[in-house]
Amino acid sequence: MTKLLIYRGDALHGEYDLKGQTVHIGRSPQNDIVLEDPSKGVSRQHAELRAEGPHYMLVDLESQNGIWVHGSRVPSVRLDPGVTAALGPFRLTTVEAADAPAPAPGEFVMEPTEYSRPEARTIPEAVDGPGAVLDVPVTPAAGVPVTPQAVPVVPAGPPATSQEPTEKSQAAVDARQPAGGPRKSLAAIVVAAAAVVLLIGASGFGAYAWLHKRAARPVWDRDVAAALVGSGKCDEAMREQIGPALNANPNDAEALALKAQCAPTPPPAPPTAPAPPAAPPEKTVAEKLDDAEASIAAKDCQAALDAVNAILTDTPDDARAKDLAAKAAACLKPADATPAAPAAPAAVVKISPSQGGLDVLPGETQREYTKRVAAMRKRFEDAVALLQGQHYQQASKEFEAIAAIVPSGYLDLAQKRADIKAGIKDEARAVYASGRQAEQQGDLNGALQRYQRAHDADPSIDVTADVARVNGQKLTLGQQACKLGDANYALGQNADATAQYQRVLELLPESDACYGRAKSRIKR
Amino acid sequence: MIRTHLLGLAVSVLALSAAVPAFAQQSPGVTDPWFGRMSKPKDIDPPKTFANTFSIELPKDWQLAPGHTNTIFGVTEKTKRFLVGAAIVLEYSQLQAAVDPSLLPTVGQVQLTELQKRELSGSKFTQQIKSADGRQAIVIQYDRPGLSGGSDHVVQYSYPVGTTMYYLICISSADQVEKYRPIFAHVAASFTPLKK
Repeated sequence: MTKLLIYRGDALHGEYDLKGQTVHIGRSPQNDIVLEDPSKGVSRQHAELRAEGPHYMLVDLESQNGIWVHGSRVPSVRLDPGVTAALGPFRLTTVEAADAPAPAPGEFVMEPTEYSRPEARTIPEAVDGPGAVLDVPVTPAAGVPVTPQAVPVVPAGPPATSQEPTEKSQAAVDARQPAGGPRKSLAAIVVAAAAVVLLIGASGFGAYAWLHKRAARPVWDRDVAAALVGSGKCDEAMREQIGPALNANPNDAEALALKAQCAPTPPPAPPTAPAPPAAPPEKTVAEKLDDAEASIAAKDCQAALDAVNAILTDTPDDARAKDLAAKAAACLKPADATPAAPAAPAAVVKISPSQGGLDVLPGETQREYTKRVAAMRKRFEDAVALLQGQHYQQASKEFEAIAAIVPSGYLDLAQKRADIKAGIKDEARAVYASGRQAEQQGDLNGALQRYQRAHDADPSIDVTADVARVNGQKLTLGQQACKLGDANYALGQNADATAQYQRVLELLPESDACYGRAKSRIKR
Repeated sequence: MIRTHLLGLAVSVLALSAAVPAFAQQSPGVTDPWFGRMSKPKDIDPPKTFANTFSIELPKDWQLAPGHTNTIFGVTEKTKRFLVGAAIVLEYSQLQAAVDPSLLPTVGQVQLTELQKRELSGSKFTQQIKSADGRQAIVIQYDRPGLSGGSDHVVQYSYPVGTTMYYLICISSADQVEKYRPIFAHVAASFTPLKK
């Protein structure tokens, strides 16, 4: 049986039998364990304690102030015996049932409703009455939370020391009562005296024990202090934790460090200040990571993860810490968590090329194949539309591009390509004829364009002689126009000159001398 | 009787031959009937210089009238009253650009076109480029209705000199053109620009 012990300061605040359930902890009454904290160091839903095998994981529920372990905020921690986690002003730890500590004088024990079975109550019987009999200072803790679910708290006294004095006091009471004869009275006096001596001795021993224990208690809890500092409650941390710690030991390095966090810019210590006594130095991040790596190697994965998470809380960009966190997480996962290899895709039903089908690409799904086939079919039909519209050149380009992609025997692609060739030849012949007509009509530039277009479409049409003839005509007519332009210009007939020079620009090449003259005189 | 008729014919021929003006005869050495000097010109005055720009030989005893603006002068044949004679006029105009000799045929063609547009009653238009003594001229000829009811024959000689175009316009009645052709040819060929 594992018990959860909750301390506030140095006082045992409560204990719980953990039976494998998940326990919610927080300030809200809806939690299984309610930690009332007027300073709100504990969040409404602060953490939950999950059973993981024989262990318990304390997991932060994205609380504002978090869980603190060894001065570092951690997202989770395995709350094994000996591990203490701080939530606001509270400290949580676990013990095996046999190791459960007896409540100290002045401490209070409470039980949540969920764990309120009679057998779970281990403390109340031990605290019945001795506080009223023994002359031992008993100070009920001020502000001890009493929740609606909680059983009313009662003062807890040290049972080992309270039973015997009770019997002695009864004897003393009996001794004080008259016994009937002088011997009896003498005996009674002797007994009473002995009882008084014993009572005084017992009381002195009890007082000594209480004072000794109080003196032995730690004056502060660094986790609680760190939690308070981390949540910005420096006043409370200084008042309840750090201050007492420094009063007890002004050179306490951890207390000084926390105090420094509360006062980020303390004045530098004078050089002559005595060095603090050698305290165990805080491990560097690298050393902590080394430890975590060693923990992973030793299969202590949770410890490694906790340590790395603590480092990542302060330095979230630490690449090595991230790497180790991943390793620790992988180390925690069961071997069967490895995702199974994806199932092989189902075979694609291939369509015949004569029906517009394509070859199946590696790794292609049926849906992708069908989509690709449909897209190619549409492209083919668009090209057919171009062919039907006698846009032979465009159709030819498109069909050639399609032919480079599709498998042989694709629809009637071969026939379409043949149709295009025939169509292009017919078109070329028609263009050539229109070129001759343009030449006869004196549209020499138009004729040249048509001759060239016909040849481009059908290279078997030789237009060399036609082009030479037309170029010759252009030169002749251009020169004539140039002379007429010059003559008209000389005679001052500028309108006629301009018309002739326009012809020059159409007919003569730019390299001709008259071309430049014509251009300049037109501009003039 | 027959001898008498033959003698009369011979006398008539001789008489007609004597009546033809001497300058109307075709002079030897003249290569072009419409643009060339007579080898032994008669009834032609010595060359006259105008404004130190050009010289020209004009028919003797023709009446010279200086012109104004674009008309340099005019010379007309002195005839009896109501007798039809001939006239020569010299005009000029400024060109926008000098005319290269190779361009003369085209300029002549343009001029002819313009004349045809202007002389709507004109007929028998011809245009030639003629050369004499190393000089070229555009020669345009045509007929047009005359005031007396007959036709006039016009011969227009054009000389491009730099950016100036000279027009020598020779006019006679169409039926007497052969009489005046040598005179027109000589005067036209005598036009000589002076180098400044």
